Amino acid sequence: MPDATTNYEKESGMKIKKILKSVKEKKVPQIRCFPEGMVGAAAAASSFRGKFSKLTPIERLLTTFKHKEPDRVPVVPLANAVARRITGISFPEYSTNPEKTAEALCASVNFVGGDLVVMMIDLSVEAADFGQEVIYPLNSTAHPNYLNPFIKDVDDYLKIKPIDLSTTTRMKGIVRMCEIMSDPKTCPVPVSGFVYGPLEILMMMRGAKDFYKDCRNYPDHVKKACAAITETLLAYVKAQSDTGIHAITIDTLLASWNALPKKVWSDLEGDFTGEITRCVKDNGCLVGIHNCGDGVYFDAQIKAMAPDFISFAQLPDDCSTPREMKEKYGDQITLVGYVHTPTIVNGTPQQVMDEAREQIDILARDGGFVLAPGCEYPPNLSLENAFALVKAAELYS
Amino acid sequence: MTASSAILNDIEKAVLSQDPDSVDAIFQEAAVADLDADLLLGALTKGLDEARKQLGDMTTSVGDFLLSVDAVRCGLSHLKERMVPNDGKQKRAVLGVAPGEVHNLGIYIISGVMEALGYDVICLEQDTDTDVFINELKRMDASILGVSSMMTTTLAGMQDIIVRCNRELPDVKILVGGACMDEKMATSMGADGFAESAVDLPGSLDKLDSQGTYKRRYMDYDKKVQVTEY
Repeated sequence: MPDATTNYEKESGMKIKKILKSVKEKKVPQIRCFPEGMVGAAAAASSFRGKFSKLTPIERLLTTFKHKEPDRVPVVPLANAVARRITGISFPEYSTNPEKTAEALCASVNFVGGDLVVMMIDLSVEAADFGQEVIYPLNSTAHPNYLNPFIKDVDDYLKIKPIDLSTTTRMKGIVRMCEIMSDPKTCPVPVSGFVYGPLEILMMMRGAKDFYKDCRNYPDHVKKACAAITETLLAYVKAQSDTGIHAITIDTLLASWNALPKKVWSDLEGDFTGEITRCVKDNGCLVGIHNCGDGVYFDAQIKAMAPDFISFAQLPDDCSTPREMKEKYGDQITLVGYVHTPTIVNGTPQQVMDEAREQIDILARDGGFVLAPGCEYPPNLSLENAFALVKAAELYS
Repeated sequence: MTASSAILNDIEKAVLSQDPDSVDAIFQEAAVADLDADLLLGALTKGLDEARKQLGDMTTSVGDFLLSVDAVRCGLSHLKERMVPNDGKQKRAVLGVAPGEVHNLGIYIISGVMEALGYDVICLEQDTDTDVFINELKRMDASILGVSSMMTTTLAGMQDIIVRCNRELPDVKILVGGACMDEKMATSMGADGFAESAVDLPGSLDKLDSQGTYKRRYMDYDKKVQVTEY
């Protein structure tokens, strides 16, 4: 069995190889491949330079992730599925054709702007590969056919086995997208991969109502299925990070008040998300969490995963104001959010900018804040409020 | 404590502790048959009210509250045969998710709470066509329509239902909800009320009740507001 020193040397060697590979491919190397001190010094230098000149998106993000103020607040409009309207592809193509999806996401950055692309495509990517029937509507995002759930009975949890990534369709498609978009000639901003947590994948294969009850009544069944899924997810996040992308975001929707109790979430998924996180970090990427639930359990997730950033739509369960959230969590993680969906759907661009300004004023001090919508930009909306978000970051920082 | 108040207390506690099996067991006890159905319904409602309060102050989660709702539904299934059939005084409601919507947990919970509050409810949990909503409202002679939409892609379908309902059944009060909405948006879409969650549902229903009838209602698209003429 290799000792800790051998492991350390092996890991360092792997990271150096990754840096050299990135340099050869003319990409910016992944941040976690460098020693922590070096990253901190680079962030401090960027913060200083940002006072006099414009930073690049990667410099801007690095600076804010290290809790220093960049030239302006970074912005991520999450204009993903809506981007299919820029390049003229259908919803089904957006979900199933990696080349066309990558083209649409790059068009989103070039047309609307933004400092990071997060590759959230639809809710059913992993569930589809584990055998769930998925519907690809023409006017909405893909979703599981809940009339035909893969898990029809609690015993079906025990039938779920790890799958070989090379035999998958949709997960392999996401990895392909990461390959395309990690090339700076194709996508001018850093890219975050995306993976659903094991509980959410299971919920897609069971339906929310029965799944919540199963988590309470049959936790061992659920946990066994989580273990099988996690084995595949580890290979999946490794494959994403091997393409040279800079971060991977993990969706943990069930870790919120409008889903499972905190303790139930920690018992069921805490260890598995921790394992996925370690794998992401070991492979050089930053770790993000996306959770658009209400009353998100920041504390439990920070304990289980120690993420670099959390993208959220509502305040955490233990904070009643954004100011309290900044004081409590602002020095531990980077906050990504959280312009409300109703404002984006129903508000004027000026109202979106006003809400963004309010959040910048409270959350952007000392870095550690990225302006974004609370959840993906509405796929059927016009793009004007995405432009408003980008404009707000430029004007009000 | 008398035997009957002990039973009512047990029912209340079983609902609060999210235990449908216990509710089922209590309702199968012989002594329950001697108790008035309204008292039993009252105990179920009281338990759920307490659970709703805990949901409101975040000491319980939606996942747990779902089990309290199931406990109430279990009790109601036992009571069904003993309750007086709807004599016209019991308010009727048709609830459902907007066409194309796949998230039905919220509407399932809302319908459970409304049943516990004494409403006669039909819940269309699966992706349902506008025509089905309208036909059910007419068939039931319902006074309330409840529609939820979690995804922004289903808002257009929700708007269709609201427009049809306002046109064909102007006396029906429309209550909407969902993660992508707020009160302002609900009003601008032509709904009469907005329910953020099960926590504030009784308040939202009271608000609907206190609204008067009107002659005509239409959308002013220039001002993006709904105009109601009394």
